[in-house]
Amino acid sequence: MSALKTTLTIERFGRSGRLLEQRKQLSRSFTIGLLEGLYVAHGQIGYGGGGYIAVNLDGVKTIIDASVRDNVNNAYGSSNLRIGSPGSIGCIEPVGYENNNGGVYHQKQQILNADLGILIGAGSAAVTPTDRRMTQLIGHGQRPPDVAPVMFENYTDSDTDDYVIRGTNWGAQAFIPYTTHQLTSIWIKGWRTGSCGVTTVALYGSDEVAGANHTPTVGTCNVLGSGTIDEATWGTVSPGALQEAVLTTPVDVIAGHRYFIVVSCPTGSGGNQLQWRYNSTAYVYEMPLMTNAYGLQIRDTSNDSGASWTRNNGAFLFQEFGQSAGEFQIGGTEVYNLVISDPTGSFDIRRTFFNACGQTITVNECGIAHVQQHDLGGAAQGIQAQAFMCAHDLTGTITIDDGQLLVVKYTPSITV
Amino acid sequence: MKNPEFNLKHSSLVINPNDIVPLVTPGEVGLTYELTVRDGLFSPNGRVINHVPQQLSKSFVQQFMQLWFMHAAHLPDSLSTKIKMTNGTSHQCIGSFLDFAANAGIGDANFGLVVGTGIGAPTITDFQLAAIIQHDATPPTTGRMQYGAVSFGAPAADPTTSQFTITRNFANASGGNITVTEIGIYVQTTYLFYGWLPGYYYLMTVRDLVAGGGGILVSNGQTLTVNYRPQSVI
Repeated sequence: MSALKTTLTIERFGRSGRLLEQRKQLSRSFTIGLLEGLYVAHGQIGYGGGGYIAVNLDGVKTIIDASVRDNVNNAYGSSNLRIGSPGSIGCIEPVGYENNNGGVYHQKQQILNADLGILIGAGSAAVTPTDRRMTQLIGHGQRPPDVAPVMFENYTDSDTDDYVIRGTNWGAQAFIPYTTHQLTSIWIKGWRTGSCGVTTVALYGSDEVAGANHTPTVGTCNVLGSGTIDEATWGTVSPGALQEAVLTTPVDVIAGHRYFIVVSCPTGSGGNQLQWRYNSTAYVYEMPLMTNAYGLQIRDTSNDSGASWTRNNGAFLFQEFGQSAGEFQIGGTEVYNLVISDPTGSFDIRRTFFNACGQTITVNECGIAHVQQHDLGGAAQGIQAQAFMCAHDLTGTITIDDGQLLVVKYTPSITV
Repeated sequence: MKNPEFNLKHSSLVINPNDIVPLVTPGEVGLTYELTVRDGLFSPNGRVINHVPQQLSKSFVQQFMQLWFMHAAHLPDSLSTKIKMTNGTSHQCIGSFLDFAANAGIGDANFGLVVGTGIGAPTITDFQLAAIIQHDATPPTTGRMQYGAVSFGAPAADPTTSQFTITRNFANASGGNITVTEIGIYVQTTYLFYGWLPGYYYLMTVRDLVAGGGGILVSNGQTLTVNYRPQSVI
């Protein structure tokens, strides 16, 4: 008799389908995300108000709850704890529901298939119970690993104006990466007047809570990473030039998720400031994937150190550099094979990853993400759903050559 | 001795991460339980009469796996596994927001933490306690206990362990002694009753015999507090 144990099985198959390698280990790492999911379910947290604040795959504090219901007296479907997902690109739309008055509660957000279910990555940092993200997630596609940082998202065309960054006046530019990668540095274009002090360039997850207007709200959105630019680096003549802030620690950014570059000069003051260059025309930086009405672009400014933000037309000039760990063609996550056979009960969670990138990809970690929802307050507001990590394991180094298939399987089991 | 008054109170308990006792071993998701008997009815400051320190829960039962599987797979009700309810009937569940709900209110012995007097060893196919102690709505009633509301402590983590707490008080105003020998967790679930109107049922996800084999004595006028702590240890 014991608690629930989970076996992690990793298999590597060659082009011909021959099994080349098999590893089995005890999964070490259902994280606090699973406990949070069970907590809101057992406690029905959120019904009648409140909710529980967890941290999603973007590193953003987000309310989760069990209160996906209407006020008529009915109980309907929930996607909470969902792990299964289709494969390839595209999205799942977690459960909304219809009440017996014909009212439909819409799902406000979609979850990319690759964000849900079994995840794999190249990172090898030690696992902790409070891990919210993979160390270096490997995304869906056919991109080979980068051997050196390359430019991913950017907007560097035709800057027209200055925005003053100093003291409590901050600027923020959103971007949505098309490719999952590890972001290593951010370049911004500007020039200084007087002594602006050190420029801080931070990467925030976007506040995707409906009603929050999708901003990098300080206190809500975790700072995922940051770097600095010395004052002396900046020129003093407009329009200045692009300068680089190297992140202290590289940060994973996930394809299709929104992030903010947040720039501040905390010691700046009137006449001692940075001018961050921007283009004032609407829709100049088109984000490749849209998850809501603000998908095309977001240029935000704040005069209270990021506590609140104002939306503006145009885009700040930026480039972000990083390295992809390569991409797999990621299949669906299957949840199957529930077997209860006294004294044991178990089921399987499995996903396939096919390497078609033309080069070898190295995997060091895997994990599981599940859905958690938040009822936004009724039919008019709808339901919000996001992916939250609930398990994280180190696998040891596995090299998957081009044309090979990796199969990752978790098998939770109980024995009474 | 004057019969105790019917007086239900409850309190929430939020575990301090520094107080986490890791009994679940690395790589496991499990539960611990802790039992405390105090003087008085629902009196948090009552003198501690008996205490079973944290023990490793032995027994998730099959309904836990079935319900988790149904949500993880996101099965439609038409394809879901039939799950056996605490009343012995089996139903295909619809995977609703109510699943796993254990937030029973005062006097509701249908779900939440439950206690009993059964002694049979747990098996994976158990779907109810062997002999549940019913709520004593009109004390004193021989062999019954007053069920308090279930309360919850929010999730917390230390460097190796994450957990949350489920707590319920059971007061003995029955007029006699009661020995609690088994404890468990009953949760709600929802099945498609007809059309889109759901039916509410209850199923058991965890059953334990009280450590030591002899149970824990709750004398008349005393209250048993049960703390279950689901844990995950890396």
